[in-house]
Amino acid sequence: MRKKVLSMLLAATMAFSLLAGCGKNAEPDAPASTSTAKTESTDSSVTEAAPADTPASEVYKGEVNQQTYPISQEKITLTYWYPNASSMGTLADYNDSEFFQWLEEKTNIHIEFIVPAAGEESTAFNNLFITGELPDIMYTQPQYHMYRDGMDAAIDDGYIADISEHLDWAPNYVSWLNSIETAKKDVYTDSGKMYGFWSFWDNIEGGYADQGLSIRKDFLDKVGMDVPTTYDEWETVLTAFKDQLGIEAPFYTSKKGIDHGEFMAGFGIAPRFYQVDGKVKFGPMEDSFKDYLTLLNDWYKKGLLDPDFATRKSTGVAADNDMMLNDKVGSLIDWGTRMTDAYISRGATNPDFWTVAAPQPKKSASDPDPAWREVNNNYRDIQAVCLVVNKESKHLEEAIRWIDSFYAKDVYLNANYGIDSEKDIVWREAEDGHRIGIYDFRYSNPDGLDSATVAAKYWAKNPPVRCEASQIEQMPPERAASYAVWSKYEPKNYIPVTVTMTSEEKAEYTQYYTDIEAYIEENEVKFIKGERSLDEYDDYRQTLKDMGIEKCIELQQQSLDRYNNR
Amino acid sequence: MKSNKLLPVIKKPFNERLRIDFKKHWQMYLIALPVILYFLIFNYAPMLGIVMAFEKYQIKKGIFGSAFIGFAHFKRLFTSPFFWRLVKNTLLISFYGLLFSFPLPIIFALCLNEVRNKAFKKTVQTISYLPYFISVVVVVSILFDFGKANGLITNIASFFGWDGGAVISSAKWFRSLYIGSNLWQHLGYNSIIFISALAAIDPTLYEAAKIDGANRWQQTLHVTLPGIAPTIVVLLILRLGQIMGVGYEKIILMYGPSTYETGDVIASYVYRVGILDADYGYSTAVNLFNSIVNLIVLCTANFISRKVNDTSIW
Repeated sequence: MRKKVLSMLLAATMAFSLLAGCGKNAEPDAPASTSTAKTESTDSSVTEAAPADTPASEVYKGEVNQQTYPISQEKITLTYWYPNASSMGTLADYNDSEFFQWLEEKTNIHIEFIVPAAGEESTAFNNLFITGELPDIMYTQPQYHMYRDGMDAAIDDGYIADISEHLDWAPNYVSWLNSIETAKKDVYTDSGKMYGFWSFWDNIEGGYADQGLSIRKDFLDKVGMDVPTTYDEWETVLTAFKDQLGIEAPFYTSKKGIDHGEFMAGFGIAPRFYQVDGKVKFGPMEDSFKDYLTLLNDWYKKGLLDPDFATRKSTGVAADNDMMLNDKVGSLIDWGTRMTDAYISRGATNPDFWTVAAPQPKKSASDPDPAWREVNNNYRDIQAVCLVVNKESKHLEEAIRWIDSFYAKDVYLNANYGIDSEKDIVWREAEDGHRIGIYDFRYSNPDGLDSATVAAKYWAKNPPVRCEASQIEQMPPERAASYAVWSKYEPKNYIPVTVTMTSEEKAEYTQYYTDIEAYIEENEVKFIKGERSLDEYDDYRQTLKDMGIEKCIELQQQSLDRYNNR
Repeated sequence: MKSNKLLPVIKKPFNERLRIDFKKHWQMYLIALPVILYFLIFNYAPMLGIVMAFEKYQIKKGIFGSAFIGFAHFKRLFTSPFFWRLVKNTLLISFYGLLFSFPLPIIFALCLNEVRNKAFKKTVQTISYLPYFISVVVVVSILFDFGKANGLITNIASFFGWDGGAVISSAKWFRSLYIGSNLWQHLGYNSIIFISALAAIDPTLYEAAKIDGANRWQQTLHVTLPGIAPTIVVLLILRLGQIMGVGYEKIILMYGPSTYETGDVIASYVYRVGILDADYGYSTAVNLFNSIVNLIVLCTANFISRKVNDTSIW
């Protein structure tokens, strides 16, 4: 009896769950068939697709704002996915930012910021698609936040609006596309669509970089040495830091052990994929990579690396705050805006705290300067930031016009330097009329705010047009000198973030590469810590081959070739 | 009674009986309803997602629209270079966990049971289960602090001849730290159920044993242990059912590239490919494989137990 009741119950349950499942999933089923057809048609046309014609524009780089304001007659609210939790300082909501308040008044559009928890951004981005509740606008860094099947698929599947169909709503953006010669290659996908609004630097012809190797100048002075330029000099300096000053982590990288490309560039390699003259290469497969790991292994044994590097939380450019503020780090990879005064405003107790930029080291002083191989390729006209719009948005036009506003000079100046009415408080005017941020306001703020909070409160974080000079000019010369050191290196061997794989390529690629990346990370740490002998490097490379690295390189090469043929 | 023995019972059809039973006890059914609904909605309905393990799942096409690809995901899993390591790590962490964290709470409960001073007994019990209420995030960050290159645990280990640097980033230490901290956190709490089982043993049995001349040790062996044996067996079977179910939360808080070798388990692998890489079809397949192994172990353990000592969970 009991068993029978139980089995009935089970059967009932199954039936119920089937029904429940159907109800939930029937809806997305219907449009799916149409989108399949679309995907197929675009796939076949991938190779021959030519970029659509961009409308002409008389205006140079948004100098004249061509939007009409207010954008909306009645007040509307747009949701904006804005994964910048770690840049908020002590701000509770980006609506507390003066700039966004000003923009709301100008456009008559209220923005509801959706800020995912720091460190959870990629997961949160994937979840947007699963729940099917996409915000109106999403701020994406495509190497971290990308629809699994790629840019074209995101448009074909009906999630993301194809901006090329709506360029008449975006006159300011169009003026930028016409002003930058190389832009069109990047803003159109392989099948001739526009995934979103890519970010630009206002003026980067001279080359620019706001991150790189930095070293404690006050420590150097104490040990009586100059900024090192070769690997041997680095070793001498780091040894002095350790032996004479007792620095815990003379050189700090990240939990992966290897650096982001700046330090290894002297060996002619990059951390992962890069290209040399159109040919894709993979760092760990190169012979020099072994030499580089041998150096790090040697330094780890000598105590020149952070002994706890493998337990650090960050994989990116972010030093352990506690270690930085308490003089436990001798050199690291850092952002220019953070270097000296930002740490002091955050609570560094040492009054002599001073970091300066170090050039990328070379094997010998007579070698030519290495290339800049920073992997996230932020340092060309187009940055690796793209604002995308939900195709189903009720306010598609307003959302596009709102984003387009950022490409007009009057708006992007306010976004980069502070709003007009803050003249002589947040920014001042140079003799030729252009704006310069006021240094003391940021780094010794009268309201006692730390530098990160000042940035969040008075500017927009990474606005679609960033002023390269905004960070540099406001600094006293000895601080600004760092930017010149970093900007010396030609950014040429990166693979552009706008290179995209088809969804089939992507599926095949991740099938191999997910495991490969885990295997590499694990072994690099082992090689550096000496838990695996570097004599086994050839075995290691053979394992990578067995795991399919050559197929991954081939897939990267295919998509790069398509990009080059755009 | 008598007629029952003589005549074969003619059972009424099931519907009929259900109807009668429902009429008689409808309040009971009403009380049970929320629980049944809970299982239907949260435990049975999501099972439908298993279909994804056999599909090239795409978000847009959904569970019913994605292309069916048969066992391709399983093939990928079984040929993955990490497959055997994942299984091995999962089993070893579970096995060592079972080895230490299953008997120790029992021994702890037995010891407490022998303590005659009530105040002391209560104090020890309270202190021992306090760590249970600390969030696992906090426990792991304590581990990180103690396990750093100059942390407490590393220093103690170096004293005994360890020279591999920070223990928290050493693959050799991962299991010990994982299980040790688990034990510290859960020992007191896990012993509660045994303490209450001990309280349920009939005191007259002890009196009888005493009269028969049994000493304390003999009483423990012949009265106490048999008294809580069913509890132990049922809990053991349930634990065996989770042998492949090492939770991912603590693992992903603790592990890193340097400890993948011993710390990467099936659950954390599912988390990496499923949540981080958004490869939902494949991660469903991995998890399904995991669940099937679990089910087999559970059934086997239950079967053996039923044969050997008549105690089983069904």
